[in-house]
Amino acid sequence: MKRRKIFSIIIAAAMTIAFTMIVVSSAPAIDYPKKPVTMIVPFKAGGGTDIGSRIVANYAEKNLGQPLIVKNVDGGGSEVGVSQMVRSKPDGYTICGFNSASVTLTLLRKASYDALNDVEPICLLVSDPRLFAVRANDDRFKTAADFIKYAKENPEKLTIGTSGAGTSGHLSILVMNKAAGIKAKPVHFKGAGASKAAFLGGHIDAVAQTFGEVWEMVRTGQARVIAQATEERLKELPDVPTFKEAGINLVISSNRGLAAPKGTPKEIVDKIADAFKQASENPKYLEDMAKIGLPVKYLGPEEFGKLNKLEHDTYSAIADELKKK
Amino acid sequence: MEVTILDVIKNVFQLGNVLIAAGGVLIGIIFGALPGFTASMGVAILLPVTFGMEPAAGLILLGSLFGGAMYGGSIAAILVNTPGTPSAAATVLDGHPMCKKGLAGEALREAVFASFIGGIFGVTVLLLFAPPLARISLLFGPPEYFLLALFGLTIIATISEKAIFKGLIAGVFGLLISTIGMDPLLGIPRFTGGIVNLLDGIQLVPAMIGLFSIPETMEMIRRHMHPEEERAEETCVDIRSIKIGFPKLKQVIKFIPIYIRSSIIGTGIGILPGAGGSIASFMAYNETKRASKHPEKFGTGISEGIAAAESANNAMASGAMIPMLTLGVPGDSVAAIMMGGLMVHGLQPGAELFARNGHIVYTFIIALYLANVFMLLYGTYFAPYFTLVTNTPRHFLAVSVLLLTVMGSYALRGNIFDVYVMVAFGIIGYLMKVHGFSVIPTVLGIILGPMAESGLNSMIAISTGENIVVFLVARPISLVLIILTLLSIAFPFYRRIRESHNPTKA
Repeated sequence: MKRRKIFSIIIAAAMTIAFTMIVVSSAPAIDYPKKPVTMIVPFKAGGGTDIGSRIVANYAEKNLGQPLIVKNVDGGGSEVGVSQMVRSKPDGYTICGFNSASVTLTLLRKASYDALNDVEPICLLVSDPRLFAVRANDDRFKTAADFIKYAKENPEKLTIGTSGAGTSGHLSILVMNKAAGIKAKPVHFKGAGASKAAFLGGHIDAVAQTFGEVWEMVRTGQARVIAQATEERLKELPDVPTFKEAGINLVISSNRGLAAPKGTPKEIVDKIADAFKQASENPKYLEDMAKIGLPVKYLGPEEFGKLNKLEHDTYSAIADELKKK
Repeated sequence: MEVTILDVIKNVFQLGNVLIAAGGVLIGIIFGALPGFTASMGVAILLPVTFGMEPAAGLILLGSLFGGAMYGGSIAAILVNTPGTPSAAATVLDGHPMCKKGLAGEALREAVFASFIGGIFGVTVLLLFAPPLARISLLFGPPEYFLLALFGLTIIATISEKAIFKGLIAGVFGLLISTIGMDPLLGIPRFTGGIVNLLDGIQLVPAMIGLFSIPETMEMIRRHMHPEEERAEETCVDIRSIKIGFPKLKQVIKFIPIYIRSSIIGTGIGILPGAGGSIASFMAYNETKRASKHPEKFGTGISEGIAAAESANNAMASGAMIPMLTLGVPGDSVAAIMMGGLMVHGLQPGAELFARNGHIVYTFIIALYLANVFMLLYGTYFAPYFTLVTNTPRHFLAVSVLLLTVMGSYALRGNIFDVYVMVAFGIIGYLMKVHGFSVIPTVLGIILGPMAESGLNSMIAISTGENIVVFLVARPISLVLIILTLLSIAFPFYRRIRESHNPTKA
């Protein structure tokens, strides 16, 4: 190791300063990773993102050749963990979970990082489509059209539960309101569980939650999906129309991916992405993820970056309106 | 799948499962006893371990840990005036005064016995009545949570009868503290001063550790420096010969109504997804005090107070699993993590879990009985050794407690900021103590503030413009809660009037 450093210093001395920087910064990429990599999970231990991250880490660390140390840094709907990652050294030894919420929160308040310019996207791991569900025995809403019509005729009366203010569920309701010209009322709860309880108890009319969160209620006949905020109908729900089919441009999913601090060398980002890509193709991993109801979807660094940009742009208009209130 | 009782019993008594229950309880007691190391932290840490285990075994590990931690919290509460977990906050009220009277051993014995009774009660309810109770829990909507929080706040009146204004000031202070962080309506940060770590508000655990334990250690240090002020009656050691045993049968019989009432309250609060263990034990304590013939003795160090708080929080543990197993809606944060553990094994919690995976669920539930027996044995046999803590020279003990408070505050989220919070609240707690304020109303304010606020916000949202009074009165549970709250506020005044008319009895 020492010899290599001396060697690179000799080369550096012979080259221009600019060239030196390239040599030094690309040097560690050659034999990355040399030590365990810290993977920050910016949510509570035991939650959905945490469990999913721990499962994928198990598979990915074998491909990476070094252990992935999962560390929970919870708070501020992922802001605390992500900002810790953003401030760490861009050497590939600190990576962090990066969800839709990590993007949207920066639109709703003055956040401690810039979702597009302070991070180096690595990959998307999970894309959980958002579904709007009503109780199975709620006869008021047979179709998506009924749902929209009711909302139109009764402004501020249709109550839809979310997992919290500023979450992507909350924003999806606002996007729907705007796209359909209605005024459905978002009602915020602390987490998906509390929202589900209020929904099943009949205190609210509907929920806007992810596939993983509503699927069990649907399967056991407690709830019915009224419309899917997806491009195409999910294979599990072939009979439920998408919002697009009902004439409302609403395509929203809750994305869960990984990101590194800005400035992390591309070779390292690619290497990490590759380790997760291999994991995402492992049938055993897919089976594990299916059990906990997390739909796996891998996208590489560039595409994940584009997705973040898209989410950023989709929500920023809505967020500006919300902030004016 | 057909499940026979024999199969289940056979599963439970496999050596592996017995050892797991025994180990889970022990780990839980340790997590519970160390301030800052909570039940949810223990369950979250061990969750990945269960991924590789048999589903039933994994659940048994987490469930026994949960129960063990609920009891473990009382150990620190009694011995060093610091609740080991938030659920043990109400145990401090009488636990530590008992210790100061030299009855530490007796307090610990009562704590484990009450925990055992509460645990057994809760598991029995889980076994027999889970599905109907889970459905009842759904009747609680945002208005009911708001009113429940309001009702909880009236506990301040009961526990600070002697200094009601100071109690109210401390309570309001707690409520104000709870407004720090993102608001529940739009997610806009309030009073955070741009500090990212304050987005989720002041964390309960470090604040509580600071409020309780820093004043206590300051007191220890002061006494060490001024040994001449030492009063014999406040030595906090077991003056009786240290012996192993259960509470006296006569006392157990006398306490039966307390155990039953507190266990019902504990299980009931546990079932509600929006209310946690700390609320359960405070409410049980409150009701026990109210029903007592000598309420003035509460807070001075009597076993009744411990019996109420401890049976309630252990009953809560099983209660919290009821909606988790039957509806897929966790009753508290620990149950939420356990639900993740279930799903990893492909077991979808919900209506079909009992029908399709009955053998796993029933093995788990029956094993919880076993875990409670282990808890009783550990607690009873180790109690004399726990009391050795109080024989430790005060200067060592004070430093050890301080070290633990720092470690515990840091461990909660692995965040040094929480240690600063702990220190700040330690200073606040000390000032409060010096000026005769109780910290309990502040803790209640911090716990109940967010529940009241988000409940109120959602209530206004779902009332959709209707007159709020009409809206509430039309909901039977809301009406009952309103009446209970009014009665609770009126009760201390009523008693004061009655006492002033009847001075001999007071």
